[in-house]
Amino acid sequence: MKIIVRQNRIVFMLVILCCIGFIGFAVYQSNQKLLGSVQQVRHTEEVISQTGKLLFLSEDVEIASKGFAITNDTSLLEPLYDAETTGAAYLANLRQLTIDNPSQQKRIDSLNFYLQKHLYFSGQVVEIRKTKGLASAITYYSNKPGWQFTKRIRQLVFAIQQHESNLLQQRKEINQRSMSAFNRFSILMFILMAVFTVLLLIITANYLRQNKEKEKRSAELVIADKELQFQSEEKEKRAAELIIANKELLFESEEKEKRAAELTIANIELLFQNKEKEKRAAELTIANKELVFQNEEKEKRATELLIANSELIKVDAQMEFDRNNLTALINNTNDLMWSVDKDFKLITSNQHFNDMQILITGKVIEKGENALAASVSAEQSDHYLMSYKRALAGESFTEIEYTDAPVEFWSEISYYPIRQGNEVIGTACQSHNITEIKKAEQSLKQSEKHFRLLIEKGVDLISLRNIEGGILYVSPSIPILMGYSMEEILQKNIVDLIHPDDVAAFIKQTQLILDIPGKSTFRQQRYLHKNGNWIWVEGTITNMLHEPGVNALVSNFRDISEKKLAEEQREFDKNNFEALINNTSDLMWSVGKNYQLITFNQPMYEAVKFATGKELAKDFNILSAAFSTQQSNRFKTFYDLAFTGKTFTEIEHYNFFDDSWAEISYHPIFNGEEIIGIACYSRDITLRKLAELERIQITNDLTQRNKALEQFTYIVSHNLRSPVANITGIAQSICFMALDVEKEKRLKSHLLTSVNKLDEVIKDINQILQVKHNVAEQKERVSFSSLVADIQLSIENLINKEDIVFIYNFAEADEMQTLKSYLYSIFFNLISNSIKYRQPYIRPVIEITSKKIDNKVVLIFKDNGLGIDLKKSGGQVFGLYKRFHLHIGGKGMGLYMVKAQVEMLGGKISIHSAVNEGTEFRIEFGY
Amino acid sequence: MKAKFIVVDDDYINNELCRLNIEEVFPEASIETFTVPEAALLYIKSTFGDVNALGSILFLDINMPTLSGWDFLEAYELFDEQIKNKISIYMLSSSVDYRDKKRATDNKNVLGYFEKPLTAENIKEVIKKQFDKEIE
Repeated sequence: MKIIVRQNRIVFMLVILCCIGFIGFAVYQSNQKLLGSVQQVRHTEEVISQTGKLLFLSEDVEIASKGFAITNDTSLLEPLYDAETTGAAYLANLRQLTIDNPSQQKRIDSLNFYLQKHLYFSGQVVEIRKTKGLASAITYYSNKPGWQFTKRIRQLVFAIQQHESNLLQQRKEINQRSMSAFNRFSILMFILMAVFTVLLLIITANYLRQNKEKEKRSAELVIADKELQFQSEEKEKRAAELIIANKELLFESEEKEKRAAELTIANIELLFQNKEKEKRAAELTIANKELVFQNEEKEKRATELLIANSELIKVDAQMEFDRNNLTALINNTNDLMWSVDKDFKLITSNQHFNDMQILITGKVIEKGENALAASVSAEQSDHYLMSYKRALAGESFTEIEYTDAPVEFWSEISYYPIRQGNEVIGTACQSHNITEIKKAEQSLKQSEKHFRLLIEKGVDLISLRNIEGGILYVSPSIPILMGYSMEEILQKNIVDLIHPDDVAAFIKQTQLILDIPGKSTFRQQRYLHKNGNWIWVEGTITNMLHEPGVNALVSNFRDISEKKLAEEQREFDKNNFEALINNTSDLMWSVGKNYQLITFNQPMYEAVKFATGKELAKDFNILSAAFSTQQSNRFKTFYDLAFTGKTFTEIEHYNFFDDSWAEISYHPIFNGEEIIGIACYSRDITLRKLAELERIQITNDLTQRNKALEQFTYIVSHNLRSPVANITGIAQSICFMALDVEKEKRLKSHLLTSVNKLDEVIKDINQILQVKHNVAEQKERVSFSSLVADIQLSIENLINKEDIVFIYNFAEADEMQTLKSYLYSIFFNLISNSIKYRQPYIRPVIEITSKKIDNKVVLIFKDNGLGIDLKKSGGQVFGLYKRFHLHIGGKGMGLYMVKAQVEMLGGKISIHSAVNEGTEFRIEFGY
Repeated sequence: MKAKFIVVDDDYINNELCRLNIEEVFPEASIETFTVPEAALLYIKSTFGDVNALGSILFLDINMPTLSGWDFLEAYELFDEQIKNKISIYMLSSSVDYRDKKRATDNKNVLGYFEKPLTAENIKEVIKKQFDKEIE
């Protein structure tokens, strides 16, 4: 209020000063005017006096001329002689004076005219008097009205004077007015000056009076000080009471120490938790070792596979051997062998076939010729054609062929389809001479008894059945093999005993031989054992319906379950092996001495194609499948090393798409002493490698956290220790020193301070531990603007007192799902820091902005405060009990808590600051 | 015996305790205490530049807000040898961390390390060392 009054007074004074200036100017103006009009008056008076003089001059001239005419006294003529020059001077002067007045100028011109006339006339009078005498002069004078000139001049002078008098009158009036205006302004100015002075005096007086008041107050303060001193004496009295209280406090402090001990236990628990984490890390390590172990197992399997691989190579060699063998066999057999294509043209034939053709038809059938030409009759040719067709339809079968020309000849011809993929491209045929057997058979058939004996002693499964499939006879081996009794078997229909998948082919094949007596067909099929199992058998079915005494279809089968099982096993093994090799994600390949590819599995093919675009094939140079010459060279050294007989494993790092790692094992393949190739096995160990990296990361994190915990423990112990050391020191001093009353009193007060500080530290630790552990609170939607409003309300007094400006913009994001109490504490700490560390003499401005960047809520707190020298203490800004400004109270807890809480909410905090410019905190919360 | 002591610690209570203890052992001793380390540095620089100035024992705290004991030692290291020869620095800290002790003993300008509170025995030990040093 006082400020306003004082300010008003100053404004008022300023207004007055302005007025004085204005009026001063006005006074000056009117004064100028006055001076001008005075000049004018003087001027006018001058004109009047000059014209007067001119009039006198004219009269003098008249008198002079008249006087001379009468007296002839030349001394009287002097004025006349002077008149011309003085008159001209007067006129010139007058002209000058009235230069701005045209009417007066006119009058002066007339005046000049008449004056000249008058002077001339007077000169004439004087001349006449001198020459002609008095009488002539008087006559001239009387005739020429000289006096009229004087009269005219007088009139003119009067007119000028009259005009000038009028002007004078006017100017005097103006003068009068200016004078009075000047007077009025002067008075006004005087009044204003007076007011100004009075105001100045009042202000000075006020100032002096306030000074006196201050003096008075300071005097009061001195008195108050004395009172305080008195009070402090009182307090000393009370201090004695406090000593007792003190002891109680000490007791309490013991309690608090107990709490501190509990906290230490909590701390130990934290350490224990830490150890648990280490234990987990150890478990991870064990898991890792297991992985390594599994890896070793796989390597073992790979080695086994490799052995199998070498065996395969051996098998290859065996096959080569076999093939040669086979050729020999084919040509050395007594059987005829040949093959025909789809158009029944001969593909190959053995020597015997050719020999036989020469024997039968007298000529050799060349390759590419029609194989049907090998027949002796059209009937036989048709029969062959039918058989080839059957075989080309995919059926393998055997037929008994009988020829009676040129000799009686029985042959058993087997037809095997030659397949290329799913397509049958030809038929392979083998004809076995069974003439001798047939002949023996025929002779055997002579005797039913002999026949029976023959078949019943054999292990072959022989059965007779009628055309409907009814079983007429089975050899005793059949019930034994199939688990039925003889009676049971004889009641069955053959179809019931055959595997459902085989029935159709069985019926079809049987149909084919029904019309041809003695015709046989070869089959492999399954019979049902009584226990439900299937028994593989193979053999022939022969049409003996026409044979007297038999009248049945005769089946002669052998149990081939063992063979079939072995076959299946082999097939299974092969498939299994291939599946193993190709169905793994691991890459396998083997390389010969010139780095040429020998074998590789499907994954290897695909991997190389995917990575380099190259398609692997046998004999492909494996070194050209590398990504770079560098890698190629590296692989070369590895292969070379393996060729020296070493088995080893290398880890290869690829980073052409993502980081990936492969563990490649190199195994030499031995053939006796010689190394004939390298078997390689590559396993993708990216996951393991990543797990390893992750483990390192976890270990680092744990180490980091451990360090942080250690640091925390250190800080806490230091800050607990600090007041405790003081208490110890004070207690020792009190106990062991001879102290005067004053000192002892001070020490006790320090004791209280230290105990309070200890308590405070314990409370702080409690608070910190609560932040670190208590996230159980429910998350809720928190609005930033209402949070700031709450805080502003709670520190309203402070904000008003320090005149703080808040600018906030939460337009981009005003809400987030979080723990309200934490966010409140973060906002509160940052705002109160900004206020606490403001710059003196600068109005504090706190700017809070929220932004939404990539699913993150970013909060920015900016102030214009003291700032922190980050170069000097950047690493410690968020440290516990770290302080950067000495003159302002603080514990160094605020930013530590802010950071802890931000991190508990899953956020990050960073700081930018410059000394005397301000500080900016940036908090990022994942959304 | 005329002895001079300087105590630098932001904790005024500790400073006062030090003063009490020193006075108990050496009633004649001159004792200067500083709660602002920067002020102590200025004082040392201006006082001990004088050739005739008496030597002094300095107790230095570690944990201080604006300038830590270590920062103080760094600044002190830059002083003239003449000044440094006159000052015997002992760390006086409430820290029980072995690393602080290690760091103190590793610093060539630090002659010893004491845990708070400072005791009469500590002072006697320091004086004995100082006496030995002066005889040398």
